[in-house]
Amino acid sequence: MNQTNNEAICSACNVSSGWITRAATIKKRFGAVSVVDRGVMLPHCGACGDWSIEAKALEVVEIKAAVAAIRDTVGGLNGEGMKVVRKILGLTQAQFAKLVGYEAAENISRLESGDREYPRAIQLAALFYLEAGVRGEIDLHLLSDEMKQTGAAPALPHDARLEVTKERAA
Amino acid sequence: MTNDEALRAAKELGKFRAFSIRGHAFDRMEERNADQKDIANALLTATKASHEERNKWKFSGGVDREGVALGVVVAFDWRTEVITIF
Ligand SMILES: [Zn+2]
Repeated sequence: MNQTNNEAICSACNVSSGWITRAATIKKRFGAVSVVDRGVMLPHCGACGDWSIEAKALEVVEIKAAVAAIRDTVGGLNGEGMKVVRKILGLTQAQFAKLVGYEAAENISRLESGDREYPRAIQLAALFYLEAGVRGEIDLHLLSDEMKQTGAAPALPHDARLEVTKERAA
Repeated sequence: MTNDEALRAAKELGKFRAFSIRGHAFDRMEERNADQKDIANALLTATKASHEERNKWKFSGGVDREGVALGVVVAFDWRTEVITIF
């Protein structure tokens, strides 16, 4: 949460008339889908009403919005919307392809630019990582660097008491 | 602050994402599909600083994460705030 200095001049309107902390309305667009978050408490300028948010706090807002956009939209997002999601994950098209297990970067590029339906399975794979980020199980800001180093999608935390095996086809 | 000092400050802001974003700047970001990581990258890669009014500086020559030109106006007040992008 920002510290509020009531003497401070507002850098947007150059007036010093105090700051009021209240819920802001932040609208994030994912292609044809918009998510409005009315739950973020932010300092608002007493004169112009404009709010201010720390970059790292905005990242959390963006991640939560991406979760809602995929989860709460019937059929999910289009290519333009999923491009916004990929950027929130901080990944290149090649890294994103690897994360969701979808062949090559060119396929992601085609999906992002075309009118074709964006496969729901890929959206749900992205949702899986976004939700792990919301729960604090992975730091999404480090995801890209980690993938650059290891060349693979990071393992998510698992319950060591549950052992999962898959039978080979005969 | 000289132009060189401002440019150095911009690179630090970009590196540590140590800035706030104003609502107006956020609306501009939505218009051009830029997020806070793009702004960090634009500050990190800026090549020119020019002084505006009061303690406001305009940083240009930088790019977003896809290599598209992105300029940033920053106010170095009690908070360091991005007030608009261009
Ligand atoms: Zn103001």
